[in-house]
Amino acid sequence: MGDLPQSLKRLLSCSVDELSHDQAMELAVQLGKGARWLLKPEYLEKAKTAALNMGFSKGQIRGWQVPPSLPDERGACWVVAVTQQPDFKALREGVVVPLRWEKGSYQDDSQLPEGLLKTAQSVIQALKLSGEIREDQQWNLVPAEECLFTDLGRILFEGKYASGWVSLAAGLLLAAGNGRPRPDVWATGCWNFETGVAAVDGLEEKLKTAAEYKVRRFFVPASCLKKARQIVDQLRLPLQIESLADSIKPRAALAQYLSSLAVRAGRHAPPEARTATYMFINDQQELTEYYLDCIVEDSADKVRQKIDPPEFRKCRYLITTVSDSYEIVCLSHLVFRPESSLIVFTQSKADRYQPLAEKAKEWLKGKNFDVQVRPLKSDSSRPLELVSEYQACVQELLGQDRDGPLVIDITPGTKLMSVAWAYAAPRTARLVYYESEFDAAKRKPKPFSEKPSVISVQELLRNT
Amino acid sequence: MNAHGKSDALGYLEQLRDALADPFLDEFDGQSPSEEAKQAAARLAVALGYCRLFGIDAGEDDGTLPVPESRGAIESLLGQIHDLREQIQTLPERWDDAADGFEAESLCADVLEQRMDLWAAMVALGEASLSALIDEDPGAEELSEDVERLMNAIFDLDDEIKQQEILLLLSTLTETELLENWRRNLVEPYASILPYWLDGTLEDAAQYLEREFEATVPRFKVVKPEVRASQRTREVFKNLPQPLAVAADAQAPPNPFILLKWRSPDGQYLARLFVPCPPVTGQMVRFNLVKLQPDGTELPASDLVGTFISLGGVVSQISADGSAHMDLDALVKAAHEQKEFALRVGDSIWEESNEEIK
Repeated sequence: MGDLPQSLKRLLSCSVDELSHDQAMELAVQLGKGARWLLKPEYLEKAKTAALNMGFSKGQIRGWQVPPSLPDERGACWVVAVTQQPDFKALREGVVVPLRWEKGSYQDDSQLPEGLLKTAQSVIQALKLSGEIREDQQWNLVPAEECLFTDLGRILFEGKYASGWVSLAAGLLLAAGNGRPRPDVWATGCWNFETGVAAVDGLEEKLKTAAEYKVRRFFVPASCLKKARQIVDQLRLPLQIESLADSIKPRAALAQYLSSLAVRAGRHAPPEARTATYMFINDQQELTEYYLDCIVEDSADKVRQKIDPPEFRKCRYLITTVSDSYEIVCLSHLVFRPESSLIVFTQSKADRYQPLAEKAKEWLKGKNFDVQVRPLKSDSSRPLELVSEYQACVQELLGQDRDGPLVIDITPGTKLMSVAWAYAAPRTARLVYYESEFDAAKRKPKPFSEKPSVISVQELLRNT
Repeated sequence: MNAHGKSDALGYLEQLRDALADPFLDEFDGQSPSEEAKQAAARLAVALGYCRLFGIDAGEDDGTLPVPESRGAIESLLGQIHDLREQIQTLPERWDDAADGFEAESLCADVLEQRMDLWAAMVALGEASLSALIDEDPGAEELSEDVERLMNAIFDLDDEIKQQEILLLLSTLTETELLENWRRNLVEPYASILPYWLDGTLEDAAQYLEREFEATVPRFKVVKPEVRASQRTREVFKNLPQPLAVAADAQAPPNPFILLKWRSPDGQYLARLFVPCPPVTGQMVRFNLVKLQPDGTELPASDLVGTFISLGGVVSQISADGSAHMDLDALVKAAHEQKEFALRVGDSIWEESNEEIK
């Protein structure tokens, strides 16, 4: 505290009732850009009243908004820390520090409080060690507001910030994946390189601060979950408390938090933004819903354009398979636009696949597709029987229109199922396979990266 | 009243009574008094010494420090001298970082008050040492050695304080009542053997500072706060961004004002002006003048009602609530054009205290 002027210390030590309106305004002005982050709301309100009494307009004091808006641009993040200066009655118990990860050339980080800089370095080290960010990439943590740490109030931001680790790490993962953060999802958690997410102190102050900022979901270390929920119940805070995962891999530990934190790019956002959103979503159901709501139609148009030669787009009948998700089933329908289609699944796994098949059917019916669902008695362990069953499927779908243009999507299902189709498909049919870029770290195919391979069965047989 | 006709207006008798009542002093009845006990003894020596310096009759509370308490007090004072030397070494830097003239002055006053305490303590401890020698106290010789050790430490401390840069900083206190208050209260023989901070040395340094400043402004290291602040006030108005047509155009700046402050020559009043940044065309700004109360609170300077106030030739009149309004555009224009840019209230120029406040 050596650098803090005595006059500022005096003002910070006063209760709000002890301060005159002018003194409250002086306090806010002296703290500079830090004022709205550091001061308790009642102090800022008093400063605002003083300004209005002096004849300044509401527009001129909009910057003293209570609570301030959190940054939400790409790279934005924030940490919530507990004030270490109990004698300064004017300071919030929990102080939010708005920050931003910047990629690129080296910058002088010295304006960051030392504790924050150390935590940021630990985050970068952990994410590089786990391969989440590239070793040769330079990332810098900077204040989200210029001069935040150069005004007089900078000293009041000093602290340890170890519990800001998970927030900073999630912020960096989002920044590296082109995502943007939601201001109503917060977290607190330290990091131990040997055990993963570690417990934090000051939960009550942080949760109260979060409630003031109208936070919806708050993630805490698993070891703090019970205590956090007790605090929320006792104080009746409108917060949903959730647990960070126990894992020594940062992305796995933060997966659910990261998924909640990422802003969902809208239907009309650029494909890159929608891809980024898709890659951050952790919940399978939400993932599918997002894909169907925001991605599949544009993606299907692009895929259709890529089919070469163009006459291979012709399709009256489509047969496809449901596996672990039905996104590809829907994509294939939008690519080939069949008049009638059949979705098959393995009956032995009906409890898993039938609901997905029914959901796909329902969604496709909403798009005016004529879709049937059919269980397969055979599976990959009995390929010859599977071939017969596939042939029956074709007959059932095509009926008398035996030469009608039929496309069979062999992308979903097992490899043996695909092989079986090569034998079961009629000569007039075409097989399609979608190849996608696969993100190994996130274990997902990247949307908009699908490349279709359409093969004429007749051509295939001619060459074998 | 006491034998010298002095009242205890500064409360030293009260301090003496508080010091005597400190329960930690009981530890001197045992073998090894704690640090707290030694600090209590030091406070007692200081309070007793002030009674001697200012001729305050302590009545029943008067007396001479016993040897153990004296030796304990010396140990504590030696620690305080060590801390004070560190404070003096960093004084120029802290003075530069001080937010305003008030704070800079209080840093200097703090140093001199501690030095004054040491003088008072030495008076009481010298008396205790002499008494011990006369009474042939078995600890008299050790106490005498301790007192000499303390004196040597004080001599070394004075060497630090007497450095030109420190003296020049301390000389800013000549504009306050602090030194004169001390001088006025001293009784004989102390009034005739003034220490260097009361014998005119600081006043000479202040004059030197004034002369040197006028001659070598650009390269002089120590700049008086009001001078720096004066430059800053004009710069604030000159460098305001282009005014907005309407306040609603402001992009919600997180730090929407620049604070300027002035103090009346007698230190009783304070004027504040919050300059909007960015400004709005045609906006009036309000000076708020307050009267500072002893308890640190402020009251509107309503007793200045009707007094004229001007800055850079822009004139207004103080209202009953202690405020005065001026046209911001006129102030900006004056900052570019007028030679004088001081705040005048009535007949006096108020000292600016705006250092480093953004």
